[in-house]
Amino acid sequence: VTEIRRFEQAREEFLATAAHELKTPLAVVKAYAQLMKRRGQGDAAALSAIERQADRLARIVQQLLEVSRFRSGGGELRRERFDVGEVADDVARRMRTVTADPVRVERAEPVAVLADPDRIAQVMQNLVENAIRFSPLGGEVAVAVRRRNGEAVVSVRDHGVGIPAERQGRIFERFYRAHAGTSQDYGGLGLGLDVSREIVARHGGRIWFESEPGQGSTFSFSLPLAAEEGAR
Amino acid sequence: VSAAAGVLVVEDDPDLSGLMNIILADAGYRVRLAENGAVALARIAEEMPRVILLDMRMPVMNGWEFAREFRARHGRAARIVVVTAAENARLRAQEIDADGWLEKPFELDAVLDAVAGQLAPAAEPQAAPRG
Repeated sequence: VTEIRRFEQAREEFLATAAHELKTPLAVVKAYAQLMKRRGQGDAAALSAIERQADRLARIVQQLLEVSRFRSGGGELRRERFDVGEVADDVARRMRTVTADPVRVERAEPVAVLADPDRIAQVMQNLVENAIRFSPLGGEVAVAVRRRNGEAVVSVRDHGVGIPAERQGRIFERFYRAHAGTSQDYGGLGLGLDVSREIVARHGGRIWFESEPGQGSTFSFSLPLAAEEGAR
Repeated sequence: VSAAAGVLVVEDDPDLSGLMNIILADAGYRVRLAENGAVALARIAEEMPRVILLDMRMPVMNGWEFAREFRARHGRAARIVVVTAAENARLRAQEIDADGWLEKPFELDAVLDAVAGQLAPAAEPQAAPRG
């Protein structure tokens, strides 16, 4: 047991160090680009590009760290009760700062789950990023949150390129990139869906998709609903 | 109200602390810098800041050690905002019982909001909006 504990500590130490070492330079680059823009120094469009790319790298770093933790046995969930719709609002707000595509949230009643809010936000962000990546510029992305059959269901819908039928069976594989080598290869590491599936499975939920090449894709995941507030 | 409030930036990366210095000074704060927790304690002995922006991973004395020492000596005499690259900034802030947190990389406005939020009357622990 102590051996395992020591390994876990070493892993967490490594991940925290890596996060710090990789993100601090990105923070510096991004912040100075913002400062120059704010002071009217330099080309604003160029500075915005620097900022965007620094953000993009930061998200990739986050994703790689997450995968490393999962693959080395870590990633405990910190469950709490929260409204999935509110997390969807947060994610949409964050994504609007990095994309020109409209990101809309559709939700009516609160949908409470007992889950790890940071991880669930990460799943939503992965799905929304994919939706944006494979949508035409300005294409709308909708995030719908609702209850269905006693579960919370979140669906991310785009009107993008869709997934080629013959590749649909493999998209949840780690490192698999469904559009690799096609004219619609818009980058990405091939990790987002693998991580998302892992996170959702650890919560006792499922993840699935429907996709029509040329029409768009809808990725959904479910989570068990939290017990009614009064019933606790 | 808080135009001349003192802010202590505890950060070992001079590029980053230099930037914090610029934007906070531009906003009217009196800014001092410390490159690790031990230097920060010395600066605090000279004068108590209102807000401390605290990096966690630093040489000599890191953020955890600093926070423990600061609370032991000065209790809640200043507000502490954790500046972290951690995957979960909120947990990091909870670990040292900080008053707020800021995630790297950040928006410039998030830095100003994080400090201003701590100086507002009846400030609750809060996060700056994520970048």
